[in-house]
Amino acid sequence: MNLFSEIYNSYYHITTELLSSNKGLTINEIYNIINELGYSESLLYLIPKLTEEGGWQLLSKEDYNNNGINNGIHQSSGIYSGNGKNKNDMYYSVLKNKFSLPMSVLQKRWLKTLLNDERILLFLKDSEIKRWQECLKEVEPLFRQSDFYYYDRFEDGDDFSDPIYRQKFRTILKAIQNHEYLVIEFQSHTAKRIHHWFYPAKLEYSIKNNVFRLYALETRNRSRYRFFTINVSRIVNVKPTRHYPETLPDIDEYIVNSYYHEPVTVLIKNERNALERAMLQFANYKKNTTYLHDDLYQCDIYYNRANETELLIEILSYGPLMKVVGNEDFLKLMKERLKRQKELRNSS
Amino acid sequence: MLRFYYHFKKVANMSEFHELIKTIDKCRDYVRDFFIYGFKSRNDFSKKSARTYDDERRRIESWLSEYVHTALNPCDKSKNVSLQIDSNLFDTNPLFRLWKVKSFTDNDILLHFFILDVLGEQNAANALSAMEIADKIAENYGVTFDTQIVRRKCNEYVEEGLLITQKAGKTLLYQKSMTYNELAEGVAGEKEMLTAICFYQLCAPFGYIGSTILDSQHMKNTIFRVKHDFPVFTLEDGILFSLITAIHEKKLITMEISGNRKNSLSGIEYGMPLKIFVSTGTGRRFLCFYGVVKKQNREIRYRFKCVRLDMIKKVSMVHNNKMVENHDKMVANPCGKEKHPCEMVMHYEEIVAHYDEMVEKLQQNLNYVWGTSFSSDHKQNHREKLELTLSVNEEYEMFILNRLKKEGRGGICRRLAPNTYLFEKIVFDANEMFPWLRTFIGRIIDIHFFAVDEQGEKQREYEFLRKKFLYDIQKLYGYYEN
Repeated sequence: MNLFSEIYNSYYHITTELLSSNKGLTINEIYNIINELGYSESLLYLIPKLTEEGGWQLLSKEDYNNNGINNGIHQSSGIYSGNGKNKNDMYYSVLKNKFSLPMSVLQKRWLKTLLNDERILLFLKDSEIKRWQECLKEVEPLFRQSDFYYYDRFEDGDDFSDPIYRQKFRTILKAIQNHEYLVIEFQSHTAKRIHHWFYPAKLEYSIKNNVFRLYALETRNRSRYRFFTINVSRIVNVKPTRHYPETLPDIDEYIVNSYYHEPVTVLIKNERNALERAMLQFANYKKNTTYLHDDLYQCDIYYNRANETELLIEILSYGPLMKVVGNEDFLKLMKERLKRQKELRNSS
Repeated sequence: MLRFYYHFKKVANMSEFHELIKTIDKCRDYVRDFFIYGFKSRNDFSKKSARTYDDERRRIESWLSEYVHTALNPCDKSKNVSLQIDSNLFDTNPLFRLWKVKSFTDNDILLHFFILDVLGEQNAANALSAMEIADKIAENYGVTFDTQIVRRKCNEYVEEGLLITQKAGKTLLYQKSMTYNELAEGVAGEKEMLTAICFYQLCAPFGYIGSTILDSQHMKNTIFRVKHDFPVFTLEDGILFSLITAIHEKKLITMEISGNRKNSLSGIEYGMPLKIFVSTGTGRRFLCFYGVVKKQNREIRYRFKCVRLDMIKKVSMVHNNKMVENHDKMVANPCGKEKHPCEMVMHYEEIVAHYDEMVEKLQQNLNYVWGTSFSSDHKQNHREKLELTLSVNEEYEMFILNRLKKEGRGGICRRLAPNTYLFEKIVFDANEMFPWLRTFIGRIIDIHFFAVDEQGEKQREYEFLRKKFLYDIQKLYGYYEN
């Protein structure tokens, strides 16, 4: 049982896709599948192996299994098919059966591990969990939750065992899958009640907070939206509407647009391993780092309003090893904090 | 498209370059450096040759092209390659791709498809011998394989779980294992399970395995995103896999450690692995183990220790005493001077016998571990107490009390006066709390650290810790006063 094994290789996956096609493939269709599932230079290796003489011969120009029938190509009607494709330019799988890949032990063990996680209740009912456990009884879980200790995870995570929470979660999940508007009533962090139509786009899970948040777009007139992040635990009421957008909004566009144009610029002094710590901690953010001189580095970090405070306290946690030099708005927040601290210390 | 392919084919022929790799170790370090640092140029990668750097960079550019960012260093005009991965925007971890580039031979891939196709025949006998499979391959595809080669591949797949075996007299017969769809057939919640996999592949350990299940089901995650995730964790999954196996089997291990700091030590660590410590804030994972600390007068001492997963280069399980003895003779300890004596074998036997007690003891100790340190530099005292007095505006800033509750790891918060609160927490090493304490800058009225006894009673104040903390804040005033 190997973690790094060729059975999970992308080339195997691509070849499986090609061989699973129940019709002949043109060379362009083969290119497209390789480009979609492979890497930048996969074509160079795979095309000769798949289509040229001396290759693997897993695809053939001869339709031994009569797959062309499914493609509208009539075997008896000459070289041209009904859809204009030249039969001689098609490639067919040499396999005799519909190809299916069995599950590996590693996959089964990983799957079994999920059944012991508290969040699985959000997806499966108790009876379904029992059935899955029965199906996977022959394998041991890959790991146990008790093998891991998340020492700085926040203690006020969502209550995944709460039936009301689970119901809300499932309603949201279904609406995301169906691209359906929801009527959501929730309490904002300022204790304000908000009740509106939203397009539910994604569910975000925070590992540190152990909470789910909904990326939602508030609809103004079904073509203009406002981006919201709503904690699922703060949702008081959620109902499907049976209304659907005519064109699906691109949530990533809204996320990217939510970033401030100007990044925060910090100087990092590489003492007490600060550089490595910072680079790892801020690896989640889009950032650019440059070496300046004498163990001094400059790092530009892109952020948005939603993570401004979090970024501020993360930078503060480095103490004098990190200095904010821009942008002006962020610098102002930093100065206010320090000014307030100085006043407190002077008055105590 | 064709022109694009032939152009690259011409370029590729100029050098022997392959996207696939035999082992993951080397490129793991390069990906880590590109992803985490992102400012290193070719000259900074001096451990290996420039040619190795070029090959590794090209592979990474190929696997992760949409995330590769190249920039010129304004100081020395060198070219910096970085990986810019915004975890808010991805549906799966792009670094999983590293696990999907294992090289293979022509025979490997041919046998993969031929064996599984032959055994997937609906009207044939369910199980076939290696010889029957070889005959079927020759008959169906016109390709001849030696029976031994077919048998070897079948046995590999039995180990991976793709095939199962049964005996017919003396003959071993091979049969296909169940696919996901066959396994889930008739089980309510088949689709829901796939949705769950979409979620867990992003946030559970070994998420890469989940992504391979989605691959096989032609499915992509379009629902979930993850925050506070560190994609780079997947690079340590090979090491994690060995450690988890050792934890489950209650096996002693030896680890080859490579320091990545200028002054950090490289060497060998021995011990009993117990738990994986994960930081959701700093992006680090550690192995907590019961290991050797130092030797005094041929006496060996043990205690709980933590080592970062990204610093562990190799894990070996110790199966018997002889292995430990041999290992001791060959390998110097982390300081590079002394050898571990063979008496430690006896100690290890004791450790194995008392495994459950050790786990329980660790559990008790966790109340006093702020991060990963089980002792401070101040030898005389076992525990240290923090007293942090904060100014909290009760009208607008009650979220601060909420922060103390959820982030304070069991610390106690008391109201001293209107808008004034005291937070207390006893830990092994108060130094570890400094980064978190600094996040309250702007609200700190006072701070004190004390040595405490077993009952938690204050013995004396650590004035130097207080001065150190306040000195850092003093330096910050200097940064932002103008």
